[in-house]
Amino acid sequence: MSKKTSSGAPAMSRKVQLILPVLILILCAGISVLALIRPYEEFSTLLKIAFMDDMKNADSEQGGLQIVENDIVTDYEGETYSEGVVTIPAFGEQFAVLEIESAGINVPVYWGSNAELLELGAVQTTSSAAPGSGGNAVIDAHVNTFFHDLDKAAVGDSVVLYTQYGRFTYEVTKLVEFPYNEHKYVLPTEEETLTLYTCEKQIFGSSDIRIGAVCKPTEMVYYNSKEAAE
Amino acid sequence: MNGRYYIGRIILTILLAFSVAGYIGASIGRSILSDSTIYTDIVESEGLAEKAYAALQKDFQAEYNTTMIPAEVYMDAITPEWIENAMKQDASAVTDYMSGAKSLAFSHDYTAIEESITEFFHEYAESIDYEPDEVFEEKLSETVEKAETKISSRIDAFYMQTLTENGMIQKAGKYYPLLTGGVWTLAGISVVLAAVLVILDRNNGWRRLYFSGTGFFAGGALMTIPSAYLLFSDVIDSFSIKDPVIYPAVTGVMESAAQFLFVKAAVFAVIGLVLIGVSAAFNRKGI
Repeated sequence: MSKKTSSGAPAMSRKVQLILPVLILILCAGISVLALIRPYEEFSTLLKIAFMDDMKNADSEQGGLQIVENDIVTDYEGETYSEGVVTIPAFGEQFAVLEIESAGINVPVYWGSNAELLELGAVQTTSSAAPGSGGNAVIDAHVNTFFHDLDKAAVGDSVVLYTQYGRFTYEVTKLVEFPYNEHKYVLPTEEETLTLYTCEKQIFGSSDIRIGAVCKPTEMVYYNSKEAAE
Repeated sequence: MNGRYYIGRIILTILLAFSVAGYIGASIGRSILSDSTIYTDIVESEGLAEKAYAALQKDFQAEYNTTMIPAEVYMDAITPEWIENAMKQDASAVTDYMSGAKSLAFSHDYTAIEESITEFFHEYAESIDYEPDEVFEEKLSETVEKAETKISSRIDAFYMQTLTENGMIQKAGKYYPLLTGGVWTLAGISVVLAAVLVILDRNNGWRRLYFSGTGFFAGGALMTIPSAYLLFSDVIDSFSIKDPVIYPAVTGVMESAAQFLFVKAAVFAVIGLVLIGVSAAFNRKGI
């Protein structure tokens, strides 16, 4: 028979008095966890996207962007191959020099596209194919800076892209004009293509029209053979 | 007999714990929606206006490469103080709406910007002997509109305008009276449950405070644990949008809410512990 108080309630030892609040807390926490499983499953993807970045410095000058400037060799004299290895650069890395002699264009090309990189040269969007890899390499720059004279390029002109891993020569096959929201010319292609574009020149403000040149390869030279890489 | 004694009180204690936790959570939610000082304090303490001003300068400088409009045309027409006022107005617009204001408008005075851009366009047209025509007017209004959109999006550090455009604030406004009602209802339920637990043990000396204390402790601790996790882990810091204006604004609100939650929940947990302690201290014989 258990002990009772004078009022008839069961006696409660000191141990029980201390443990009971903790047990009730654990019980409540357990119920809460069970109740929150379904909502968590529903929102877990959104939460992971919203809180996925553990970089703590939000005020960094370039928002964590690592800009790397490289000396790109334009007079490579070593052994070359007709098929070779393409190296995908890091975001923010200068990986090429673009030359269109007829338009007086000779600009560094960075991998990745954002405002900081556009200040430094032409940029290649990372969703397009690396030059020499057999797809559509899309490169753009501002009309008032690096691609000011892109409209001087004509069909048949030669375009040379000196990269860290090879030299790729193209010929302008088509001059194009398209609205900024049309993606026809920047979509992937199955054949090696180089697409260059910039804004249409305007007297006032910016234009919603893009002008560009679609180029096809005439000579592909790689500095490393596939066999050597394997 | 013993089982009956405990089961009834434990069930009531658990209900008290959840109603206390619910009250704490609902009152924090209510504060976030209705207290504009949460936002205005963050605007000031984080220097959001200066950061937005610097970001706009960078945006307009970058745009110069496509528009040939110098950043000064825009930046000389606005100041960090103007941006600060606009940010505070946006926050007040939402909290006023929650408090019963009928309209939810984010209107800012862009007259200075409009005048500055117009002046630049006319000066430039004159410099190249261009007679203003339809194209000129079209480009001018397009440039003014783009500038206002850009400035407006930088002012919207707390996403108030964006949430309003998506109907979220209006939806929250519909549920706000329910939230306010919920706060008072849960507070009332907590008081009633605590009173019932006291009355049930009215003849048991200091033990009459034990179960209500346990309920307050469990409810408080239940909310203290997640808020402490938010405050002392890297979760808030890992917020993905690293924009120099949005990041401090959004994480600032999250930190304020977590701090508020932590303090309020800890107060209830401490009240509960004090009641348990008093009960235990005066029950030396372990009644």
